[in-house]
Order: sequence, then C-alpha cells, then structure tokens
Amino acid sequence: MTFVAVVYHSGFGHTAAQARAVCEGALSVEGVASRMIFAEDAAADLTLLDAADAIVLGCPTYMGSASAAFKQFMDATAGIWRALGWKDRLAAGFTNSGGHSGDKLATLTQLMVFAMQHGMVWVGLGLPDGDNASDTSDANLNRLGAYAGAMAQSNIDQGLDGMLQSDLATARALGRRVAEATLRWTRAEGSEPA
Amino acid sequence: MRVLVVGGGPGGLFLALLAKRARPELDIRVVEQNPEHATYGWGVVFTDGAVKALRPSAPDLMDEIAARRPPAEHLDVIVGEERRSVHGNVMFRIGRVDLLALLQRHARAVGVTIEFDRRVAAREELAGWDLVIGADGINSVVRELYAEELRPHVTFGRNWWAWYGTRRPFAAVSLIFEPQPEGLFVGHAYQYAPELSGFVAEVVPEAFEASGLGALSDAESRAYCERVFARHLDGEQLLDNRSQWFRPKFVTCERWTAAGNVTLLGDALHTVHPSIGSGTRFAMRDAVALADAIVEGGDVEAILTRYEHDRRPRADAFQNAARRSIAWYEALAERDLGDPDRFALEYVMRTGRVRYEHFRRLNPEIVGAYERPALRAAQLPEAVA
Repeated sequence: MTFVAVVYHSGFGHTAAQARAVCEGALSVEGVASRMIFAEDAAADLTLLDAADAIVLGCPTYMGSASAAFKQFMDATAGIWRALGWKDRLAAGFTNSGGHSGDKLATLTQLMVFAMQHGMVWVGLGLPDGDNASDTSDANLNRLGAYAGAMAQSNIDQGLDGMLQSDLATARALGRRVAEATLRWTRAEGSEPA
Repeated sequence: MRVLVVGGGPGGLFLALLAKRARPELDIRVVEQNPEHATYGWGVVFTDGAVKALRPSAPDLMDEIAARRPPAEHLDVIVGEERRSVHGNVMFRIGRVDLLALLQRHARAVGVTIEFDRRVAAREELAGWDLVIGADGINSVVRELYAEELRPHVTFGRNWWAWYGTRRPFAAVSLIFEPQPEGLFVGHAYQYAPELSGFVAEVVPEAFEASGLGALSDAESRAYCERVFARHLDGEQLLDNRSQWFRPKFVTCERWTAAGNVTLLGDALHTVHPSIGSGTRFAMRDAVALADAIVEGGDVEAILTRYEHDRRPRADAFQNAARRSIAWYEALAERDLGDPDRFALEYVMRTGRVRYEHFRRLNPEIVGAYERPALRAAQLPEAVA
C-alpha cells in the first residue's frame, strides 16, 4: 500500500480543512492510503512518517512565512535530514491565508526548500491559472494561480463554511496528483510498498 | 440623579443593581409590565467565559448563579442517531424565573425600587427622570417611542423558532440536527432545573412550508415537533409556554441616545442569536458598561457618550459574530451532515474564532476521526493507523 502522509498545522481550522481535502484527493486514487498528521504530533514522534512514501506539507501563512508551529516540526526533522532519511520520497505543499496573496508563495517556497534539503522530489500543483481572464471566476480550480503548490484564501471572520469550494477542490487535486505521482514513483523504483 | 429603567429583565435589573450599589444616593426605579411572579420563559445558559466576564461587576451574584447547578462540561452535537460530545465550553444553567428572582432580591437589598404591572405606553410617562433606560426587550416600547431619533433597523431571520420545554433532562447542552423528509429540524436543548430542560425548535423555511406548521394550532405544532424529535425525548413530552412560531427579529439601532437622556440596552438596542443565553449575557454586558459610565459621573450627556464609546465597538463586533452564526444555521440545508465528526468540528469552528489547537487538545476523538477520512481508512498501514 502506498501511503501519502499529510503533515499540517492550522490556526483556526481553515488549513485543517485544506489538509483534509488533500487527504481526500489522495484517497481517491486506488491503492493509496492517506491520513492527516498534526505537525506537533509529527514533531513529537517522527516515526509516524516512517511509512510515508510521500509527505504533503501544509500550514497557514503567518507574517509571510510558515506558521511557527509548523517551523518547529521542520526543525525537529534535523536528525532525519542528517541521515538523508527521506531522500527520494515525494513531497508537495499547500498553504492558506486571510489575504488573497498574503505572500503565500514565500511559504510554498519555504516548504519546497525544506523538501530539497531532505533530498525529496517536489510535486507541484500542475494546474493552469484558474481565474486570470474576463470569462473565468473564483469558482475555478486554482483560482489563486499557484504553481508550486495549492493555495487557499479564507476570510478571517468566518469558519470553515466560509472557505471556497474551489480552494478545497484545488487541494483535492493536489492530493490526487501526489498520490498518482507516488504510485508511479514507487512502481518505477521497484521498491516494495511500505 | 433619578434613573428610570423600563423593563425588569436580566439586563435592566443588573444595571439597576450595579448602579445603585456603586452610587447609593441615586434614585433608581425599575418598571416592569409583567406581574411580580410571572413565569414566562425557560432557562438561561451562561458559558464560563460569560461568568468570568461578568463576575468582577457582581461576584456574589455571579457565584450564586454559577452554584445553582453543576456546570455542563460539554456540548452534545447530535445528528440523527450520531452523537458527538464536544469539550471546551463549561456552561452554567439557571431558570429564567430563578435568575429574575435572584436579581430582584439583590436589587431590592440595595434599595432599587421595582414596580410591576406597569406598562409604559407614552413619552409623557418617561418625563421627570434624569436618565431613562429602555431595557424592555426585543419588542421595546421605548425604542418605538423614540424611533425617529434612534433609527432602529429590524430584519427577520429566515428560520422559524418555537420555545418549548421538556422533562427529559438534557444534562449537556445539546444541539440536535434532525433531517426529515420535509427538511431540517434543529433542537437546542439544555437542562436548567432538576426536572426541566429548555427545548427550542428551529425549522428551516423549506421544512416549515412543507410541514404546514404555520397553519397548525399550538397543540398540533407541539405534537408535530414531538414526533420529529421523538428519538431524542425518551418518551417525554414537549411542554408549552406561549410557544408560538416566530422568525427571530434582528435589531440594530443607528443611534444609542434620544432626547438627550434616553438610551437602550440589551435586546431593545441590539439583538444577537435567540438560542442559548447569549442575549442575556449580551444585555448584562451592556448593563456593566452603562453602570460603569454612570459610576464615573458627570452629566447625563457625558454618561451616555461614555456608554456608547466604551460599549459600541465590542457590541457591534459581537453582533457581527451573531450574524455569521445566524447565517450558518440558515445555510444548514446545504451542509453535508453525513460525517458527524466533521460536522461537529465545523459547528464549533463556525465563527472562525476558535483555536484549532485548543479544540484538538480537548477533543482528540473527534479530531482523530477527522484526520482519517473514511474513504479508505481501513487500508492504512498498521504503523500509522
């Protein structure tokens, strides 16, 4: 069984909903298992990720970078980094903020560099810009026009019901893409499923 | 200074009590349209946050309220047969009649005059007082008498409500979502006395239409709701107490002051959500702000300016949160009720102001299920399942 782990942090639940959508997308691929793992739990017990063929990283963008709790998880992986323990596993990223930009790309870049430090293989979003023309709308996939990963925007005065379905569908698309890529990758490697 | 409080509900009585305690020389009179031992209404719920916020103003009273019954330590979110207990909110419950009696006793003890059976109907009746406070509830007469200056805006919610009670004890404050062929019914239930729970029925417009509830008699409506909520009532009946269907009014006022010496508080001034007790808390917070302004002194104009300046930003923000909560309930028909863990989480997170980490720590079972979407959870590798 191919396993896609979704490591996430969330401030008020919005990024958790995005993580859940990534998970659902991964689960929609035959032969793939997936679950969410809270960054704090993963930092406390990194063996939770031992069996992961792919690790999708996601957190809110606060002050133009990954949330502090997620950075704690990142820093906790130094031992694995030293041993290149995650080398050649797949990775991808997603992030959410209140602002439409919020400088979310800085966070995706941060997550991507983190994956590169680990010698992982980055999977981008692979969707065209969804809302960049006169006849497009924010109901489209990738309405925020990201390429390095999945972005979402959620109003700061609303709960999860305030999230756009298009952003959740975009996260689902990322999860599915990562799952499919992981299947191809592990098959090509000829490695036994974890 | 002579102060007239129109309306002897929790907000008006609390204001009178606080002001008189701090400034015994004030002449404060509360006039109430109902008789002294009226028994309208069921119970009131105070969260621990509400008790904590109100306690500094009247520790003895709030301690008495909090000691009435053991607090409910969790909230039950019930969807059909599925129940999820959500931890993180401690709730104190008290009967409305009990609360009013308590407030009356404390107010009288410090020399507040309370006059019952006195209905205000004209401006002339409010003459001769230095400060007039309309604390007369959602259908405020004072607000209507000064509508030209206060400029109230009144809208109606879409969902229909009826206040019932029941002898089935809902030890936990319970939110019951009961999907029916005719549409969604919601029950807000909370025990507030040894043998009584309040039970508010909320019905989305489609279900209200389809069920024909609007055309039924009170007794028929009650019987209908008993059937809808039967599996949650354990054979107990719903009890009547002026339980007619209504769509909740949402009230805001452009201005908080009229005629130089008239103001409002609580539902008369601005409403929140007509479910479990937040309106009472809201009115009592207004009372604290107005009493503080009175205690700080100055002329009536200074008092009213300070009241609005100190209270309005927070009150407006809370009203916005209430609007979002109302919108959440009104959009329920479009929500997926199929995953009770996800639904319970979404319910608690609906205002966007609850910290996920906090919720997660207190509700490991709900979040544990949420983190493992049901699709193929069984196929997880053992090491991580």
